[in-house]
Amino acid sequence: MLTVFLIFFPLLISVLLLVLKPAHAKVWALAASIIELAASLFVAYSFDKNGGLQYFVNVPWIDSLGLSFYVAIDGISLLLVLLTTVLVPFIILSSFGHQYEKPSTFYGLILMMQMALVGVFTARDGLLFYLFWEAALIPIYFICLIWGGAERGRITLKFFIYTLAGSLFMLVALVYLYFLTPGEHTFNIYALYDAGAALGPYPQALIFWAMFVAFAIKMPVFPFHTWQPDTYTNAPTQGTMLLSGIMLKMGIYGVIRWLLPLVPLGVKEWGLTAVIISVIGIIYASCIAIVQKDLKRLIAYSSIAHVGLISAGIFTLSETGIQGAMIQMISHGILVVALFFIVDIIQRRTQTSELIKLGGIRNAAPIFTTVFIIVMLGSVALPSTSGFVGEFLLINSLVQYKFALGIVAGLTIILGAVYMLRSFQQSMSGEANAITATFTDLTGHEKLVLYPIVLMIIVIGVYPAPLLDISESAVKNIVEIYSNYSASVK
Amino acid sequence: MNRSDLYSLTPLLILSSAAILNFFSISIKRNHKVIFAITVLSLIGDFIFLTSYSLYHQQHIDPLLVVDGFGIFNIGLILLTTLVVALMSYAYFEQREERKEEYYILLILAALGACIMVISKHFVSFFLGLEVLSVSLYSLIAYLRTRERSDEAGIKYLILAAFSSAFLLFGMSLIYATTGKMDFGGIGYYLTTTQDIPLIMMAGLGMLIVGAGFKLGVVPFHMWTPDVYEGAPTPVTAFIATVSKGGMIALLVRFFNAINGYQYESFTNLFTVLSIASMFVGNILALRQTNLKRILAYSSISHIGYLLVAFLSGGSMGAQATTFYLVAYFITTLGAFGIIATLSDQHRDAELIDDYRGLLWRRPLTAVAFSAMLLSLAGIPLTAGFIAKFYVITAGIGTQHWLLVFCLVVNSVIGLYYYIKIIAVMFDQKLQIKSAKELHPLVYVISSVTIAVLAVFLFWLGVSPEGMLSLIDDVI
Amino acid sequence: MTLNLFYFLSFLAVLSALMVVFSKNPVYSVLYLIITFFTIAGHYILLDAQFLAVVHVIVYAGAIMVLFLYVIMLLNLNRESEPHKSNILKFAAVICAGLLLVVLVGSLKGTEAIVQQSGKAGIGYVKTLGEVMFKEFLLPFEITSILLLAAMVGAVMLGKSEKTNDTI
Repeated sequence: MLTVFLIFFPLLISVLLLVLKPAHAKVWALAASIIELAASLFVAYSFDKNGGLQYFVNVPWIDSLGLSFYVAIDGISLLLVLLTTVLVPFIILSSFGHQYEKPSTFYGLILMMQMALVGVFTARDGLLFYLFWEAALIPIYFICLIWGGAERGRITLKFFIYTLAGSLFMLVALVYLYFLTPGEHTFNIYALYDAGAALGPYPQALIFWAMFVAFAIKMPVFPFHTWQPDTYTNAPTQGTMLLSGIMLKMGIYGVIRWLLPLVPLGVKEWGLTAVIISVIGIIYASCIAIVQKDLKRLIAYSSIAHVGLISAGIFTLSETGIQGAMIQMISHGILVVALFFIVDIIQRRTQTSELIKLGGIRNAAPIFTTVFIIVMLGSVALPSTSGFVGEFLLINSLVQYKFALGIVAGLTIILGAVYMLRSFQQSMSGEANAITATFTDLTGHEKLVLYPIVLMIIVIGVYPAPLLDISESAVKNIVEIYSNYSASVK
Repeated sequence: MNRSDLYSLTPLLILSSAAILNFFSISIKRNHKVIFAITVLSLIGDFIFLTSYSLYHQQHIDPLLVVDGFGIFNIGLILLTTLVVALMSYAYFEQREERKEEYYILLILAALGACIMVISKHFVSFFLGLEVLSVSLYSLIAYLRTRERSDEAGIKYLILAAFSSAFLLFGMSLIYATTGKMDFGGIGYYLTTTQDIPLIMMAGLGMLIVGAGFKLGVVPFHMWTPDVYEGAPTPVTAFIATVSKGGMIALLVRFFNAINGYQYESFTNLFTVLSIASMFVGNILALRQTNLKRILAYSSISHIGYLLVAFLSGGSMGAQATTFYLVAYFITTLGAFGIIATLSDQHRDAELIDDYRGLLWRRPLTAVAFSAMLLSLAGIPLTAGFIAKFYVITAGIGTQHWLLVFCLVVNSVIGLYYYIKIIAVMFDQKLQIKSAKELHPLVYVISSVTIAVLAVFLFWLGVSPEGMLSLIDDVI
Repeated sequence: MTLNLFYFLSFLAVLSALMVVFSKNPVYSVLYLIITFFTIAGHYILLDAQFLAVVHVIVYAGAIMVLFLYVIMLLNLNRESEPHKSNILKFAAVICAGLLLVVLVGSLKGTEAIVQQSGKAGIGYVKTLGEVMFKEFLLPFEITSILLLAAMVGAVMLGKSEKTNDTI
């Protein structure tokens, strides 16, 4: 029942916000997201690490379509639900400096988004997963469309069509598998696993690509990334945070849950290709990030590089790789929200995010600078920050998988250091100019957002074991399904 | 004709009496309100009467008609659709100075024609029903004579509909020449006695499909659609898009099931070509349009293409998918045109995309409702359109029509482009000062409530379609 | 004898139908069309459908054609005012019609005549027709009246002069 609460509580509040249009919508939303966080922490607290699926609810929804409302939480789901519930309050809090038009709609949409995200991470029914997957798109689309930047019409169009196009092929693949389930057809994930694994190599490969493209667009992995930089730059900051902090994890989660165990043969055959294009994406995005002149775009491209590494790690199909991906998802989510908030702060005070117009903020705002340094170091994976744990595990798994690929992927750390440090240097140090001289330091709600995030970056970096423990058995389980099947084929 | 035959035909009798009643009412005194009330009440009464039938009701009124569950369902659908069209017409015509009253007579008669069509099992009743529908539509399309494009639209529809009727008749006569039968059952029986279809019958069926294709507006018989949609008064456009096309689809389903047309590869191939061509041509031509009614016209062409995918799947799954798609498409199309009708003013319809710029900031609820309709047309989850499209995909995959499913998915993506573009325009910040003379707000209440009800249905069917699905399951 | 008559009527029908299309003057076209109708009426008589033949002559050759002639006279159509049609259009029309012809000829060629001997000799008489129409096919007959109603309402409505016409 708690899972149902986690999914529908935000929706309830969102509907209330949209209907009642209360005066202090942001406070309502913040309170709701904190209650949600408390509920999810309770779930984490009472979660049995070795207990498999927990908190499951399975009620039939549309019988004639084989759709049932089947949600459950295991280690992997729990981590991502936690990521969602932890980030949303920060995202809402970070908006306190803005005066958005139609605030109740804005916060209502954020909470609706949260509902869909939690739903995606907990769904155990193929069609239900698809429904939540699409439902997550609608609120973020409207957030970007209504409150976005100047060119939002064109950019959101591209974003929407891209992501929906990918997922339609996923729907076709799911329906195809649905027809292969024995007896009364069902979208139940385990029935789909069996149906998928029973197929021959060629259909599996087709399904692999149909699903992979959907996930790759969402992440986004090169060469499906072209919607991403524009959308990130044009969306309102909170929208960018939702997109980069949580929504792209939907794609990664999809690969882990809905691709690896679903079509083992397809993954076996095309896994290497997926790793290679992910690694190409890492290098490509890093190189572009180096020459970016705009801070927000730079972070957007760095996000592509990070995601590429995660995706490459997953397709090594090793426990290390997937565990690394899990921890890196958490870390990246936290870091990227912090980074975009930092850009937002700069942008709000100086009206620009172009690196060339900035500089010298260090002198005017020491606390801000310190926070920026820590977040940045986390992002370049300095040991004892959260970024390090994930990247270490991921690169480790890649080296074991194919040595050369591991080395190339390892370049990401060096390249990452280059562009992050360059951006820091250009924006923070140097001579202050007219715009940056009067830069005020962090204020109330900004501190409330950034301090806990900095704390989390360090705590996870120093002591990641509890998080790794949560997902361990679930990850093992998935790797086992895959390796059992591969063994039986030989 | 005995008592139970009459009982089964009562819905049609009610409709014709309503038309006659309107007739007399006009001859006594012209009053828009009275005529409107008579029309709406009789439609509602008729629908209530219809619900008294059992879904397993089966009354053969030989040789022409059969009132069965499928027919009752479709009559109900037609009645409700006509009701919605009538409801949205009031505000639309109230602000115009032309004579308004005859409109309702013609509307009722058109609905009557469609009702006859969906319960016919014989070429004679099929053709008569179709002609009653078409003849009423000729004058409905050209109803607003002072408008620039209405004559053009009326004449275009008149000529093409007459042309297609000629094809239809020629096809029927060829079939009759081969089989000696004009009832669907008899033709089906004849086909079971022959190994393969004789060439002449093939030609006849082909012409039948050409004639039906004109009415449906499938490519390559789609040329009239955008012009007629644009030129006709908006409620009439809604009627053409829904009742006229839906009636034909229902008839095709009945006919093809009776003759078991799915077993002949030449027909399935023919429909596959029509379907794919409609999807692509409709969607691609819609991309460059700036007129909303034309966009919806092209989108309706592609939707018929999607519908044919379900139709081609055949069997009960295909019939269910077709019917559900029709229901969802009706709701959505009515909603979209209803909104265009409410936003229209005295001189012209709100049909340019620019009329909708920044609608969110002027009329937020209308904008939200319109977005919902467009998203449903695009097939986004939690709307009726999604379940419908999902059902079609399921039917297509279940019968291994991979090419069709692939084309459907590709076209859904192309279609997104223009639906989303409209939404983006509505949510644009640019405010446009509009100084249109508005009627008394009470006039709009009817239209607004209608649209709200449609929107609720849209989501209701999207979230819990179980009721509708089992209803459709029962009638098929 | 009947066969010879059939060939003669058919020849006349085709010839006059061609003349309808080929004559430049619309009035001549209409007159040729009347001849066509008469020959077809002759066919009906050969087929033992006297009532149909009479109705055909009265309705088509009589009423409708007179209407046509009036319209042509009122519009004062003649050779000069005939709109010019582009060659591509003519070409396309010829191809389409030719294809249709090929299909029809092809499909008719291979068929054997399905002769269904109707039992009654006087099937084309008014009496028989009336009995069928008012017994078996009463319902479609009624529906036809609705069809006429719809046509009438539409025609009156569209044809009546509008009070607000002067505002255009």
